[in-house]
This record gives sequence, structure tokens and C-alpha cells, in this order.
Amino acid sequence: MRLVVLYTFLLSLLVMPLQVFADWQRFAALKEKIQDMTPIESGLELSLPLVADDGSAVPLKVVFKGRLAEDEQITRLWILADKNPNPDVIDFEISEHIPRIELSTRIRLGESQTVYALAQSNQGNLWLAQQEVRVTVSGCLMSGDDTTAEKVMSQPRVALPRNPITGEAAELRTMINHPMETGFREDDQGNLIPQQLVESLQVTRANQPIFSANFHTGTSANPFVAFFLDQFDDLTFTWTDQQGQQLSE
Amino acid sequence: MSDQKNTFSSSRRQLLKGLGLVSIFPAISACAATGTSKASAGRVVVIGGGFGGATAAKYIKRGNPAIDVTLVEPNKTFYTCPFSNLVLAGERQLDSIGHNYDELQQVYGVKVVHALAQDIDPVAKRVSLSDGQTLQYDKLLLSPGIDMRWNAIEGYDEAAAELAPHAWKAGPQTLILRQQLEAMEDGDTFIMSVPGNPFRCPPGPYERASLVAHYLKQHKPRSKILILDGKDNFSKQGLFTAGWQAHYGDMIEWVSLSNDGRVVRVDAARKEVETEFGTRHQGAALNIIPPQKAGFIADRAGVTDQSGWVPVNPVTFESTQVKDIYVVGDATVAAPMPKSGFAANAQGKVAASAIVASFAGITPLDPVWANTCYSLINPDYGISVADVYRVQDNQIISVEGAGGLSAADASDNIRRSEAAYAVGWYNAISQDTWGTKL
Ligand SMILES: Cc1cc2nc3c(=O)[nH]c(=O)nc-3n(C[C@H](O)[C@H](O)[C@H](O)COP(=O)(O)OP(=O)(O)OC[C@H]3O[C@@H](n4cnc5c(N)ncnc54)[C@H](O)[C@@H]3O)c2cc1C
Repeated sequence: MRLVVLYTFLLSLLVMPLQVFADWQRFAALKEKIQDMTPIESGLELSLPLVADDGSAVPLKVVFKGRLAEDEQITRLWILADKNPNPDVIDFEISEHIPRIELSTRIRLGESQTVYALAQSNQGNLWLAQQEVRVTVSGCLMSGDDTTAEKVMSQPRVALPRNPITGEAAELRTMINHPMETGFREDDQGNLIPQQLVESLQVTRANQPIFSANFHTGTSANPFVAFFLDQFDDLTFTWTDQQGQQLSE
Repeated sequence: MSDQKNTFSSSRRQLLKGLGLVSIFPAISACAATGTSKASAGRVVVIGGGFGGATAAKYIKRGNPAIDVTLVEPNKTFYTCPFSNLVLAGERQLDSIGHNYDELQQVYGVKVVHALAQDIDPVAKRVSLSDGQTLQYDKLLLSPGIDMRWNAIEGYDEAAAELAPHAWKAGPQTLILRQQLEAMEDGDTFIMSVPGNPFRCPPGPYERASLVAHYLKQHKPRSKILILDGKDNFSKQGLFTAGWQAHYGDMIEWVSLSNDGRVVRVDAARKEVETEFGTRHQGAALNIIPPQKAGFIADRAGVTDQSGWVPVNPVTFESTQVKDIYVVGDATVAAPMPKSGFAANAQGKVAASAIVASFAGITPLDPVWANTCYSLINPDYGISVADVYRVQDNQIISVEGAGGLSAADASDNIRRSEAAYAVGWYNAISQDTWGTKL
């Protein structure tokens, strides 16, 4: 008995370094984006609860604190979850008008798994962060699954900082109501409910794109995004769903 | 030698009887019989005399009276959160939910020190107390419950809690909220802010809304209850919603996270809150249940992780980070077990048996737990959810197909029985944990 334990322990010592290295390498969706590059594994910080009582809206925050060269800036950021039926969770397109990379959203996790964040700069450098999340469905907790909710966008919401000052970075929050039907669910009769998602949120200033979020099946219902700006006038927020419907604020 | 062994095994039988749990006690192995039972006497310090700590102290003594057990708890009377919602509603007096430590001391021989544990040195195995004493331990058990995350909601700190009580620890806070309810005029609004998961007692806020509605319906029937929630769904939601409809019409309004329910700022003096997307609500009574974390002493012991809660080995409830420190109750990460008094009591027994077994040099078996959460929609209308838990791959899992929820279409008679079971449950668990009534 002891021997077996010792043996597996030694074995795990042997394979551990390999495993750490191979983790994201074995995740096709991520590998596809990284290709043969070597991502920098510090500087990008991902935070999620270690244990999520409810996988349907897990709060996620990603902050970039890495070092950038002159004229270098983060332009793309992806969130991926390796065990969701579709690994794409949400991704962002970021312009130079974003003063600080600190993004918050709410995501769906079908089961316990590793969540990855990958950031890319305009010079092609990559930063990678990852965190494991355990998803439990807590006793005394139950989620009311509504299969009949209307699959249209409503209630676009934007909260600007309370006393915005031009030149001072402050967080603003956005949310729109929509069930974000994944296309993986069945209704009471056992038929697949067709996919119906909000595809994106685009933020423009005087028609110039400054920030956008692309939502996928891993984005929670009622997509929520918070990010930082330092200039708050003339902003337009446009949500687009898969049917091409648009709502603006 | 043989005397000692007898004492141990007979008290072990006693312990098993009282456990109400499935065989968490290991069979005495050859090694206990060959003499290591002499080492069974040791020093245990238990911090916190609530559901987890009082239970653990008692059951360690029942498991082996030769173990020296000291319980550290600042309060002489412990007021339970369970049934404190009935006190709010004016259906019970605070005294009726108070328990003391007489039985633990007199019947079980637990030493009780009324002080606050201020610091822990896990290397020297020493606890320093607010009264200047230091206590030495071989094994330490923490059941400190929760602390509020002050300022996680802008403007909500300890001072604000005097004006806008959380009442999420029972006692003076319960009474402040009761006074606010009493001071409400007919037609006023009672506002409650509920945090996201995890937090103490998942169905608690909704039971509170129910019993506050029960009070208002009788005394201030034109009043409203506004629940601002940091979540999109909650425990026993269907049963609560149906019960509210049936008993209180549209008195209770629940605003979910995705309808801008999350409170981000509190102005306690004005009894005003602001939500994530800038909606302001003002009420005559304001109950803020803030985000929470493990009681501060867990931090001092170095057993919390970045989440602010304590990861534990589910078989023993020993900290995964510091040896010889066991942690039970709300402070732990035991999901899917909820942060309930029922769970804290059951975990207290598991940790007690693990400690007794460890002093005896034997290995504890895997535990199995049950949990039932009763909630009252009014004093004669109860609902419940029950689950069974066990350990698999070193994690706690909820056993599929075990447990269950009150039926959606149950008769009033069944609801009345469940309300009576809730009282039975309360009496039984109080008896098991503290024993003496005031
Ligand atoms: C409104 C409400 C209703 C509830 N209803 C139910 C219910 O119906 N059923 C149910 O099962 N659960 C219920 N609960 C949950 C239950 O109250 C908790 O889960 C339970 O109290 C947890 O036990 P514990 O031992 O972890 O913490 P507690 O019972 O809170 O005990 C912690 C103790 O530790 C002491 N302490 C803390 N720090 C120190 C220190 N540094 N030194 C010394 N002592 C310290 C505190 O004074 C306290 O006495 C309810 C909770 C609320 C708020």
C-alpha cells in the first residue's frame, strides 16, 4: 500500500513539469491562437472565484500589468474555457483610447475547469494567464432554469462613473438583458433550443471604435462588461444580436 | 492499560450513538490496543462557541474525556441566527434563541474561557487571548463563523451597520433591525440587500423577507419589501415565490442581478442605496447583508486562501495549509455543503472524531453528512431542502438522487407540519450543540 503511494508520488514528480508546460499546448482553441509563439506567463492577471457555487454567472476580472515597449499596446484579449462545449467565452478588441486594461465580465462554466486569458499586443507579443475554478451546485441553492424567456435584447444599461473627470481613468459598466441561448439546451419536449446570442457590444466615440466585446456561448446571460475610460463624452454603445438587430445607448 | 482501553472504547460507543452520522468513527485497530491509546490525552483549543465549535468541544470530550479541551468564546450567551428571523417578526423573544456554556463545562468538562482569540502562532502552537492569557495546544479547532467584508460595498462599514444593520450575526444587530421595523409607518418600504455567493445561510434572506412580510401584513399592510439581489437565482426560489404570492400578494418585490439588483453604495444615514447601474432606492428600514469572509482569526492562523475562506481536507476538516489546525463551519470551503448551522454541527463532529482518532493513532473513515434547511414563509408554513453529502476524489459531493425539496403543490397541512419540524429541528440541534436552555 505504502509502496504504491510512493510510486505514484514519484511518478507524479516526473510528469509534473511536463504537464505544466503541456497544459495549454494541449488545448486546441488556445494553441490555434498562440501557434509557435511563446506567451509571457506573467503580467496578465486573471481572477475568478476558486469555487463557484453557480456556474451560470461566474464573475471574472482580467488586469494587465505587464511591461510594454514604446508604442506597444494591448489590442486583443481572449477568454477561453477548456471544458465548455464551446471553449470561446468572450473576447475584446481594444484601442489606444483605453487607459488601462482592467476588464470585468460574468461567464458560464459548465463544469470545473481551467479558464485562460490571452492578451496580444499590436507588436504581436502574447501574455497568458490561467486559473482553475471548481464549480459546485451548492446545497440550499437551486437555479430556476427558464427555457421560455424571450430571446430578444432589452434594457441596455450603461453606468458612467459618478463624477467623471476627463483624463482620469474610471470604470464604466454595461449590461443588456438577453438569455444568451447557447444552442446546447433542450426544451421540455427534448428538442434543441436554437442558438440565439447577443454577438457584440461596440463602443464608439464620434463614430470611431474605441472598444468592443464579442460574446460567445461562454458569456453569461445578460452580458455584463465593465472597463476603464478616461474620457466620457460622445460615447455610443451598440449591441448587435445574431439576427442583426441593434440597440444603442 | 486495559482500564484505559475500556474507558476509550465505551466512550467511543457513546459518541457513535450521539453522532447521528454514518460511521465516521474508525474501528479500534490493533495499534490502539497495543498501547498508543496512552497518547490519547492531548490538549485541544477550540475557538468559537457557535454551532461548529460548541459541538466539536462536546464531542471531543465524549470521544475521549481524557483529552483536555478549552473553548474560547467572548460571549457568555450565544444567540443563534436560526430563528432570529422570528425575533425580527416579533414572534419570539431574543432570550428564546440564547444558549450558554454551562452544560459543556459541568457535564462534559470543557474549560470555557470568555475572551477573544487574537493571534495564533502555528509553529509554537500558541493562541493569545484578549485577556492576556496564552494557551498551548496540540490540536487547534477553529469555528469562528463569518466576518463582514466592510467597505466591499462603498459606504458600508461597522459604523454604518449601526444605522443599517446586517443582522447576519444574531444579538444586538437583530434588535436594531427589529426597532427599525417597529418604527416603520404603514406604507413605508423595507429594503434588503443580498450579496452574491458564497454567504452564510443561502435561504436566510428570503426567509427573512417572508417573516418581515408576516409582521407587516398584520401591522402595516400597505408597506413594501424590496429585495435587491447580487444573484439571478436563489435557494428554494420557486417555493418562496409561490409562498409569497399566496400569503403576501405583491408586498415583496425581488430585483435580480440582471435587473440591476446589485447594491454598490450605501448611505446609511439616509437609508439609501445605489445599485450597479445607478438606480437609487430609499427605505424606512434598511438591512444590508454584505459580502462575507472567514472570521479574522482564520487569517491570523494562516489557513485562509485568496478567496478569504478556508480550504480543508474533507475527511478530517484539517486545514490543507497548516498542520494540526482543524476548521469547521461557515469559515470553510465545503461547497456543495451550504454555510448552515446544520452543516457546522455535522462538520464539528467529523473534526472531533478525526482529532480523537488522531490522538489514538488511528485513521478516521470517510464521513457522510446530511443537511436540511428549513425556511418559514410564515410561522405555520414551512418549506425545506435536504441533501446528502459524501467524499469522492478528496472532494465533497452531493449524492445524486438523495435528499429533495418540498413539493410545489403540498397541502397547507404539510406546510404546517414542516413548520413544526423546523421547530423540532431547532430544539434538537440546540440541545445537541449547547444542551442547556437559559
Ligand atoms: C438569519 C439567519 C438564519 C439562519 N437560519 C439557519 C437555519 O435555519 N438552519 C441552519 O442550519 N442554519 C441557519 N443559519 C446559518 C447558521 O447561523 C450558520 O451557518 C452557523 O452559525 C455557522 O456556525 P459556525 O460555528 O461556523 O459560526 P457561528 O455559529 O457564528 O459561531 C462562531 C462563534 O465564534 C466566535 N468567534 C469568532 N471569532 C472568534 C475569536 N477570534 N475568538 C473567540 N471566539 C470567536 C463568535 O463569537 C461566535 O460565537 C442562519 C443564518 C442567518 C444569518
